[in-house]
Amino acid sequence: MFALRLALYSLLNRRLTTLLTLASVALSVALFVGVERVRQGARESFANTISKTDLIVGAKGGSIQLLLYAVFRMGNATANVSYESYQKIHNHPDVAWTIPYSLGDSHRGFRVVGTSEDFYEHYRYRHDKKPELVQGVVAKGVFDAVLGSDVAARLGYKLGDKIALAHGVAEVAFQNHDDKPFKVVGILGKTATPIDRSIYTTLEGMEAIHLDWTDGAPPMDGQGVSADKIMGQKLEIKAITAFLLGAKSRIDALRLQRMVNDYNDEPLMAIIPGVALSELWEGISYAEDGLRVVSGFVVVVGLMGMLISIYNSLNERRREMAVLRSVGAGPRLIFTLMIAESTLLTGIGSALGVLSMYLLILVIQPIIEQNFGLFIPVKPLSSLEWGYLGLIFCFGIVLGIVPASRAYRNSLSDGLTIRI
Amino acid sequence: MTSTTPSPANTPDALVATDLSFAYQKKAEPVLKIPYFNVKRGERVFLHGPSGSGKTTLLGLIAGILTPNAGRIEVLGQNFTAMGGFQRDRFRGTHFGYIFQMFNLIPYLNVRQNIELPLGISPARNQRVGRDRYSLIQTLAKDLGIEHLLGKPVTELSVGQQQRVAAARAMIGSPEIMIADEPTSALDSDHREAFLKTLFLVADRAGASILFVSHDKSLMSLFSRTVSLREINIAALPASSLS
Repeated sequence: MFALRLALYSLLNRRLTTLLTLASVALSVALFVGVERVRQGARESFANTISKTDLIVGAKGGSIQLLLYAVFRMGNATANVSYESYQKIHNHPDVAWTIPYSLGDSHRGFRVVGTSEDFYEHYRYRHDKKPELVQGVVAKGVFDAVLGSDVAARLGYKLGDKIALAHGVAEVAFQNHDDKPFKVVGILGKTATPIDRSIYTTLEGMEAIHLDWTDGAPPMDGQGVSADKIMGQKLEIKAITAFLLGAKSRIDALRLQRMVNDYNDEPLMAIIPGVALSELWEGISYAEDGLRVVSGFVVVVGLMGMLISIYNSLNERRREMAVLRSVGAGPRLIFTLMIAESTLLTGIGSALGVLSMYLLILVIQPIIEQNFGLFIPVKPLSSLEWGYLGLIFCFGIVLGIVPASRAYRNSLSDGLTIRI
Repeated sequence: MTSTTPSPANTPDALVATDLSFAYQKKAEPVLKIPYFNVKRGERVFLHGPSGSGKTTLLGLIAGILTPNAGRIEVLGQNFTAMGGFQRDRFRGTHFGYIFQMFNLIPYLNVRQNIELPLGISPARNQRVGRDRYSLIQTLAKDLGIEHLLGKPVTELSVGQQQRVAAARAMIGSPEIMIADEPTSALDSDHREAFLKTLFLVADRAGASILFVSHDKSLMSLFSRTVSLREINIAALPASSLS
């Protein structure tokens, strides 16, 4: 206790050095815990890209691939799901709802998703949020389109604008559907999920623009069907790319999954989004490990700074040590005094670090959520984080042994001789 | 060298060194070889010798920082030499008050905290002071003429004031022996005697013996006994160099 009080006075006396050292410890700890927070936030945001959906159904293939194109609008499907099979599953008594997706076209780099009104009704992300229209109405007509918020913001479109879709998903399209333009009828609010980066049309619309195509090739000149003509006729949907499915209960979902995977009429596959999401996350989690290692090294550097500052102070403090020895302090007390200093610096520095991490999160939380779709929750320290802090604390004390044992040896050799 | 009469057995001398020998390296010639040296209870001994004559070494031995190669030191009747390092530190903290030539004070403690320092380290001295700590420091500070400085940071003090604070710290909790290692050499001559008189005052109040080390012989007359280190240290040197 005496040593701790003495150490505190000593640190207060060297205010500038102490402040700088505390700042370096605090910053490194704040960074470490902050990275941990962002990592958790990223993981949670990722896992919450889609919620309430029990199954994602597509043509047989890789589950990650299905997840990527159905949820993240990345990559492509290798095969379709016939509309007939979709209808059959949709009408199964255990199914509560489905959202069909017809993919494959794009507009200036943004994916176009043909879907039904069920999308606006049943799609959920981050637990229980649904995509809301901020302007206009849902797409009902064949050539209606609803824009995700990023699409609207980036391309500067407003309601009533005409847009031409492109075949394929490349940024620079070679084959355009510019003979059949779509009209913007609605704009979705920001969700901070891949929804924002897509354009939503009806399934009929997707069917219509490919109506006059044969074998994946556009019609020859003069053989195309005009947009006006399409409006008059009844469009028959032949296939979709994938669909999301909500079951009536969790148990039903598992039964349905088995049923889809064993589907006889065509090779289909059903995946549970949560499982596939965590599989995908595991695949890319080496990045977060890397991040953690880097921030761990930052902590080491911060504590090394402390070590250096204490070590540097030793020479100018030799007379202080001699005075302490003259009033009866043994080398052991000198050692304890130095350890107390590093303990105080690490302890107070870590506390300041955690505090500033919370303050920073409070300030940037809305900005991060708005711009990156990353929700970083303000919550008490987890047991893992306490564990990390404990580890940092111990490490700080262990590092403190270096200058402390130097001071110990100094005080043994100097004794009462005052060296300056 | 004044003759030394052994004190009665029931009140041992404050300090007795016998057949003391010390060398910094094991096989080197000893720098210090003292057959006999003592400080009696309440005695004021002036130990003088030119720089390099082994004063610092002798003080290191007496304070228990250095261990003699041979011989023994008894402090207050206890064999100081036989103690372990921890015990010796403890013993020094309890029974010695030490004043350095300069830089006596811990820069990050204020005057009062500096005076209190031994009480935090030595439980025995703390116990002796007990609950009267505040008034004791007040009295001590008054005797030394520094009572108006108690709350000040030590960096604001003059050298003379610093030495007075050091004297107060040396005497708080009434240790039996005050060792003063050239405490006046940083003071100008006008202040030396005044400082010395207050030093004697507080030492008398505490009933402490004083071992005062200096090369400044002008102060000699104020002490009850004078010892020349050259005379008692037979390791030293040419027999001709008696002063």
